[in-house]
Amino acid sequence: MNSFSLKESKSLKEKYYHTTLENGFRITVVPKQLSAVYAMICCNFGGADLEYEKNGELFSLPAGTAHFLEHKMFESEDGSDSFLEFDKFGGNANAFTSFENTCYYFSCTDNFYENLDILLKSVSSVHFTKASVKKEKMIISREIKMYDDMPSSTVARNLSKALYFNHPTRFAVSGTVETISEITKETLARAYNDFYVPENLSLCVCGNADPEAIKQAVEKYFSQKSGSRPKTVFREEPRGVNQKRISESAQVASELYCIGIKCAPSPKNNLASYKRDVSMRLLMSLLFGRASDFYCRSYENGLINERFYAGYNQSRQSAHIIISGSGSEYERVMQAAFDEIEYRKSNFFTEEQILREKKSAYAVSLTLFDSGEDITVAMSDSARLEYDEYDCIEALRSITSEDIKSALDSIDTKNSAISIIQKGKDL
Amino acid sequence: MDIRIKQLKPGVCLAACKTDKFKSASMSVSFAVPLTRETASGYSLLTNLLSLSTGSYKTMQSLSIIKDELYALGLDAFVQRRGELLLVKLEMDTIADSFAFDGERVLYRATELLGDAIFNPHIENGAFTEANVETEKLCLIDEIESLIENKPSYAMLRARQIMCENEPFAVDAGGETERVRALDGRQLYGFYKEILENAPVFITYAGEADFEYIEECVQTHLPFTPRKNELPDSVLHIARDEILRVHEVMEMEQSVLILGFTTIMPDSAKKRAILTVYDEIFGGSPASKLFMNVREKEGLCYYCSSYPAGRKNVIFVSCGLEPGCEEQAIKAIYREVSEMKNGNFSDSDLINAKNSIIRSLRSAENTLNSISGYLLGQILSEDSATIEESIELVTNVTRDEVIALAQTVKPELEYILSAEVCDE
Repeated sequence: MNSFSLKESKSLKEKYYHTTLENGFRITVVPKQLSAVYAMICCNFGGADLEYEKNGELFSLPAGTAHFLEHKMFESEDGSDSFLEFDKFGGNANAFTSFENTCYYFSCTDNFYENLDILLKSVSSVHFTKASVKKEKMIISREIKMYDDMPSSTVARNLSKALYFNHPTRFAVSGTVETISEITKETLARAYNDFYVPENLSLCVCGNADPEAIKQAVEKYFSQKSGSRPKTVFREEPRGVNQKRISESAQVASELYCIGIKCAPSPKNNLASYKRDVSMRLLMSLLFGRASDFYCRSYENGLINERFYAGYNQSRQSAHIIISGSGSEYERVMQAAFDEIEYRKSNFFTEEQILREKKSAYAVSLTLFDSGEDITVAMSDSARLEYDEYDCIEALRSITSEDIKSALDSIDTKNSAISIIQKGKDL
Repeated sequence: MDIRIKQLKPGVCLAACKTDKFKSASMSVSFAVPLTRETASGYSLLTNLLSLSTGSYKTMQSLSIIKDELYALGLDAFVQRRGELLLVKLEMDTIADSFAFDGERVLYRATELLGDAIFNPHIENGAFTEANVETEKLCLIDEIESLIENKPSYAMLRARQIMCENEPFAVDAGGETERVRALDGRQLYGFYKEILENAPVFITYAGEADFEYIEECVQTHLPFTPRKNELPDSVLHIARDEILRVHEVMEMEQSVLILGFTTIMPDSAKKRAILTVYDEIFGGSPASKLFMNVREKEGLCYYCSSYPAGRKNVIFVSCGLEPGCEEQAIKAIYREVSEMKNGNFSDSDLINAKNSIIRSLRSAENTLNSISGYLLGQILSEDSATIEESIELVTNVTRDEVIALAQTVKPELEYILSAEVCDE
């Protein structure tokens, strides 16, 4: 196994093989004695890639292009569907798009190399006609409308619109019915040719499989290809928020709210940034998690209920805290949450509280290794070049109270906005 | 998988799977009770109270803290419907002892906490405390009412209620707001004592621990008394003679269409295998007739799938549509039902469907969740097949058997949820 390097973690009892082809395509193989093999190809092209620079020229894409391309990737040259091919070999295939990536995957218990061949073949070329693009627009517009009918999805999307002036996170990954109407066969072909280049792709396989045979399978489809990933351009994003309050009505049991506090995004996708993001997540649990003073006090006095959630969302060039829940007392929740943040700046958590939170976060991160599917998602992240999941767990263990305090001090509640779904008319 | 099933006492059964594939472990305790409108709300509220505090950890905060200390990924209580059976379930996920920081016996302590939640609930003067009951009532009512925010799930519930009216199958396991409002702490404790003393108990464990260690934990911390092991059978749904059309209106962009069908009662492992193969070809997968034709070919919807209703002679088809396309979609779905009846599927469709089912059966051992579900299935019903037996049953399903089942599939309900009532 000369071309692969081995990385092992004794404490996690885990190991993987890794190699990068000359053209930049990365392959990771995680050997595991499972009854199925899981494989995922990840392209570092997602909902946030709306403007990019290539050979000194600036291009833009309608919101939803990456997701649209995902829908068309399993269409074969003769118009047939790769799902049927997978089905023939017992492969269970699917795909998803996030702001960062588009991922195509399958799992199977037999015929692994046949299924891998279908996956690689599907992603190595695209085929669409004007008619097939038109039909897909109908399907995707129905998908978009399905989410439009979910107030919990609308309230979160509206928050992004309120927080950001320019960042692509203002749009849903799938775009809007209007933006996808601008997508043509040509748009998709250009996006594919520019982003689906070996340097921007990675494959992760988890299960009982031979790394060298996997490498050969990849080379069959990708060795002739080359090219660098274009640079995604983000317009300058002001520090403040675009809109303090955004409100809509829908048929809901009680009002839904999403409070956001805009934070400074991490400049680079490296381990130091990851550590900073994890510190912020631990802080959210310490401040607002189920064991926190805030949560228990607010739950007991009826200010919040089980739907309350606090977390940290971070993507390329964007980062914000989200505090969401249901009920009419959202103004009071917002004030109480902001007061708690300010109070903790001068009355910080104890070492014991921090250790407990780290223990709980450590347990959650360990569960990643319990699922072949989750392993392939984490280890195929093609945007992550400088660190892996083992480093992430080590980083979590090394976080100090100073790291968390510094995350807390960086929060400026003035940069906040609230999105509300008011109760609409009853049936 | 190394699985052992042991009847600990009459009516108390343990199924454990020892596997070193995982870094976490999962234990669950389920009380099985009949699903009825009269009791569902009470059980549902009860589970909220059981996971809020215990006799030893009387506040939500103290319970949350001890859970975090035990690396607990969750100590949760909830109700789960299984056909016409209701499971009042407590579940504990934690990390495997070998991954604990200081060699702690995490499983032992976690089972102790689970036992505390079950045998030592937070009771004062023979009742769950009023403050907790009132808080949890509001939470549960909000949860029940918020179902309208998820239109496909809401539509499915309505279809079940309409088609199977007056059958346990129509009962919403989450409860009903009016019934929740009427409950009090004393009544709830009464409900709880009844199941704690009399309901059949099913315990599952999946993780790295040895059987002796699991049994030690269970015998020490979960000392259930003997009880009867009687579970109700599913009620056979009697089909209406004519198709029932119901159109309900809600503020929404898209329409949701649910079609209800009756079929054979899947009351044996063999019949369930045939129904699963039928469903896989008809509408259960991305290679199925519904997905390939109604979504892909005709572009009528984003999703269109079929769902056999567990151990009940009912199949639902759910689909999200552009308003105005309902009639076209109904026709397209009925066309696929006829195609199945006429045996218009290829031998490779049959083989691929079987392979896909066999893959999911074999993959069941790859996640803790699916192992726990499998273990529970094994001890809940007497005719449960093992994974190998299920694979054999699926392998042996013939084209004629699938076509024979297709003949029994009869449309009974057309339910539409949309923004406006269109001309019909």
